[in-house]
Amino acid sequence: MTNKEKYKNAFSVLHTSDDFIMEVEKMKNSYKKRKRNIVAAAAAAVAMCVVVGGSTSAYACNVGNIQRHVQIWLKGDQTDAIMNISSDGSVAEYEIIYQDEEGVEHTINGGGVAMEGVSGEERPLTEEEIMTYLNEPDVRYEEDGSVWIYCKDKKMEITDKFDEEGVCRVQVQGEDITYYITAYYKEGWNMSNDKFID
Amino acid sequence: MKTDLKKLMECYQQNLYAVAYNVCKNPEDAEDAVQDTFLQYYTGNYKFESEQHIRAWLIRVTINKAKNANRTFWRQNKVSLEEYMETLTFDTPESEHLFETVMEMPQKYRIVIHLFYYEDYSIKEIADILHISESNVKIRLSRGRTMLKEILKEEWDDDK
Repeated sequence: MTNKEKYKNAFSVLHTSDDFIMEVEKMKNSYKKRKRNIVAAAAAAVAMCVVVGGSTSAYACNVGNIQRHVQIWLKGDQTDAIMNISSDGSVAEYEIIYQDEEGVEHTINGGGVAMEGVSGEERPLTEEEIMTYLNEPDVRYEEDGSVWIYCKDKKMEITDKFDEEGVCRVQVQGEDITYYITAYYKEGWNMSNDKFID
Repeated sequence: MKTDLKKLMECYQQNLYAVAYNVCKNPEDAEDAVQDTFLQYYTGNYKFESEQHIRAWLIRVTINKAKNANRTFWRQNKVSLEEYMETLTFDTPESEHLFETVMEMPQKYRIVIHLFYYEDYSIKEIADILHISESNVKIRLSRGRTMLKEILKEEWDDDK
């Protein structure tokens, strides 16, 4: 028996599961349905743009303020916090106040707008949209040079996963969504729900 | 040309699954990679020159998707090689030994070995599929063969 025959004989034991073709058919049908829904929803398309930064400037003419007790994920730990949301009618600013294990108070600030419809009219992010954003994966560059990805209660060190150009691409599986994260060593990162963005 | 998806699945699902498993060493991820590949074929607007072109495309996309599965680090239901091998029925102990030896090799060697010995691809074709140079394929193939020979000894012949 030749090496090729031996190899083929050994690997011929690998078989897909019985419902393999049925699963693909289901995926096909789901794709068709999704495509139809996208066409139907096109007229009312909503695009969201989140802008996050360390800005702490207050809006001069707030038209809405909300305070909530929330739980957010910080470095893999669920943490009680107070979230203040203020809005001037076009931009939402949020402030997250929480205490660490030693009782030291910390504040995270950010803000965002959503652009709606074909005209791109801006509106403030809702409370729910901000919470969704806050619970998405996060990449942290630590002082000791290590790099970590956090997604709710999960975390993983990716320090050794950067290539020669200092780029690391990681796919993170959320509860019902996949995140494609491209991290640039100590130079930030970006994330998409359908592909790696370079 | 574009072939009917059902025919393609009947023709290639087992081969693609073997390729995917070879890359990601996890049966569920391998199956997901192959299903995603077929779905991409179905949804994409691709034009192929021949059946061989389709086959090479399917293998390349499956390999990439299986590699992506490896990057997903909190996969659920991960089955170890040992656990999975217990579910497989090998014809001979030598076949089982060969399978296990290949799967213990580093990924970059075993995928080249697999494409050469299982898919009957030439060095040039493997280089095209993996987007690496022919000399790189030759080196990986040579090192892979050496690893196999060292462990399998008389169970693996010297390749000429």
